[in-house]
Amino acid sequence: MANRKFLQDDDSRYLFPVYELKDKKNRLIYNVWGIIVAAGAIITSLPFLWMLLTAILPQGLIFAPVAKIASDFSVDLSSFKKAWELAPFGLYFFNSILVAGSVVAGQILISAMAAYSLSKLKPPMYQVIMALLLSTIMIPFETIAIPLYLFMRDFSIAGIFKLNLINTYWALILPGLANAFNIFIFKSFFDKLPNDFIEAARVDGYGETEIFFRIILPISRSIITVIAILNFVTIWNSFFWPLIVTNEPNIYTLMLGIYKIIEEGQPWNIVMAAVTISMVPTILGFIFFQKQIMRGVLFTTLQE
Amino acid sequence: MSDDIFGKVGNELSENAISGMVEEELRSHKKEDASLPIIKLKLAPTAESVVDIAKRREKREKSQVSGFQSLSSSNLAKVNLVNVIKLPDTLSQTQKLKKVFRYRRYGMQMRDVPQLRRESKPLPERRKQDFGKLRRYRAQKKRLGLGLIMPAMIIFLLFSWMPIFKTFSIAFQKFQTINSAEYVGLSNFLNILSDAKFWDACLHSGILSAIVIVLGTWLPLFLALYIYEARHGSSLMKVLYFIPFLTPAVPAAILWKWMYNQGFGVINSLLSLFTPGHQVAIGWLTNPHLVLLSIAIVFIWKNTGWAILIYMAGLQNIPKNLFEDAALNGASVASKIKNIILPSLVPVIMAVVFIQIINGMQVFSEVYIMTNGGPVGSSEVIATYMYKKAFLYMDIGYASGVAVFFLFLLVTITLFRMNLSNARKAAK
Repeated sequence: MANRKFLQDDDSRYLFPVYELKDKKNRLIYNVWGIIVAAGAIITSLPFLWMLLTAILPQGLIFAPVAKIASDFSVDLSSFKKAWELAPFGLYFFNSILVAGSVVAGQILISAMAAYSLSKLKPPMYQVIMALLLSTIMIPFETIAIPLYLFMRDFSIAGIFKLNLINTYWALILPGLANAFNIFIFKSFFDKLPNDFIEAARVDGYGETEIFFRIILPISRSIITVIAILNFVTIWNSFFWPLIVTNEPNIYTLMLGIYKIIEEGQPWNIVMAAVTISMVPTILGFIFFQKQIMRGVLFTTLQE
Repeated sequence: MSDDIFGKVGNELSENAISGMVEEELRSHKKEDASLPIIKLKLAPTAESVVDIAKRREKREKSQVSGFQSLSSSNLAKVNLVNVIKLPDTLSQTQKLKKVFRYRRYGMQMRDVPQLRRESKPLPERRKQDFGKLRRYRAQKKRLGLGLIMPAMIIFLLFSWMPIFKTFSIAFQKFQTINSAEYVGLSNFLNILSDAKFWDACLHSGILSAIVIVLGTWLPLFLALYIYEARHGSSLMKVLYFIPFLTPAVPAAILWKWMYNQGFGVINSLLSLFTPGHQVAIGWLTNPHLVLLSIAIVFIWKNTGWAILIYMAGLQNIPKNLFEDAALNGASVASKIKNIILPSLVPVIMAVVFIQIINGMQVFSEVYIMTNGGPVGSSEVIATYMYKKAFLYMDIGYASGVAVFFLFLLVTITLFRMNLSNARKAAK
């Protein structure tokens, strides 16, 4: 039985199926290769271990060489407390969640509506809109940051009302809403949806708006989850744009808050404690949404 | 089918049978032209005779006496007989018809004559209000289409398209203060072209991308090939490599800055273990020759897991039988990789290369936090240079000029990639 399972697993192997491993030379290659890859995996995760280690070491030990740390190792959790008191982490978390949450909610609504329109309703000037959207994918955010900053400083729509949006949540949220990539992912999903769904709903007497909100959105729940998680991670991790448009501590996102701590020149164990605190949501999120994140990353890359 | 039967049995048809047939035809066609199928009959009745038959039939129905019924005098028998004769369902349509004709010949009347054709329903008439409905429906669809795309259009207009045009227009201006700008023509661009620092930044971005192409493409492939084959811990290794990809750039950069620390960093400290009696003090971030490599290592550390994921998805699509053939021919591992895996993975490798280049050109947070362009500008990349020009020196026009260059560079790379992939598709 076990053997059978082994052979079934073997179906997907290219280089080292069972019959190849009987060869001594191949087995050597397989084992050495495996050791290198496993060592690489450990090295990849070493920085996180070092981060935790620095955070829990007492002040006197962090500058000691590795051998000394190993000999008189002791745990001191006070740096976490100091780091928590050093900066308003609760506020930073709140800001980050608020910004990322509203950007994601807005993005999904806007992109799903636009994609449904482009996919099933074919609005006038369809080709022009598609070309314009496609062009924005190629443009890196750094190149439009300067005019966006000026626009946020003197925010006005057709000169009607003038506002200074710097240091407000709006400045952090609004530019994030323009993400053409989401529209294309949604569109490719809607293109695969059979029109029969919509026809059937129409026959059942649903209005066009109802069809979108009560048929299409519930159907596309899986794609919405993937897009939401990925965009949440992106916005959560973003640093460049918050750095430009905020300079008041009460509006800092988590990433900016962490950056300001290191800029102040705090001791390394406190900085590492702060970094560890900032990593908690990422690790938790990865544990809960590992499958969706990996699937989403694959999906979005292969869409390009 | 019915025409066939008429052709076959036509010779033997008695008058009675013909009348029955015509009756059926009349019944099935109703208002339609009854003469059409009858034209094929050998004993084609004329129009008058059809009318004749119809008259005769009326007469017969009036008298209520016909054929076999007339033989039996009792009313009871008549009623029963008519109801009793039924055709079994197992018979084919043709057989049923033959039977019906045979019985008719002896004057028996059949109740359940199989219907040859379905009654054709008339098409629904096109009414004026239906056209109105269609027009209203189309208008609603169009209105909804516009309405749904409007928010996206407004957002993109304000935060994507307008800024692009503004980048170009600002690049032709000089800002004295942030509020007063004057048009200075091409002078920004000319200044940029003769600015050694800008070209240094471009060079550094190029070097960074080159390192990323070499290490960030082939290292993940090497790892992915094994992880795909691995019998133990394949998913654990994948996860371990993938976690840095999700790590935000800021904590990652701070962490690596601490690890790279010249005097107390863990990397130098670990390296010292191999050189007893001698303290290793490599200036990972302070040595101008090493700093770009150090930054590239962080970038690769962050993106390896992502590339492994992509490669593993690509590996799944290679047909298995290629490897079976190769094994039968005694191919070695190296030749399998060289002759099967690499050629089939070309599109995936190209995608990874280009995405890594584009991301590598745009790298900002790592450089800004770890070195801030130092030491003496030896790690300045285009993004940090632009940021400093715009928001530290407040030279917004100049920074926009840099942005325009940057934009052209990246769009060129993207278009090059599109061309390559199109050419590959065309070659197939």
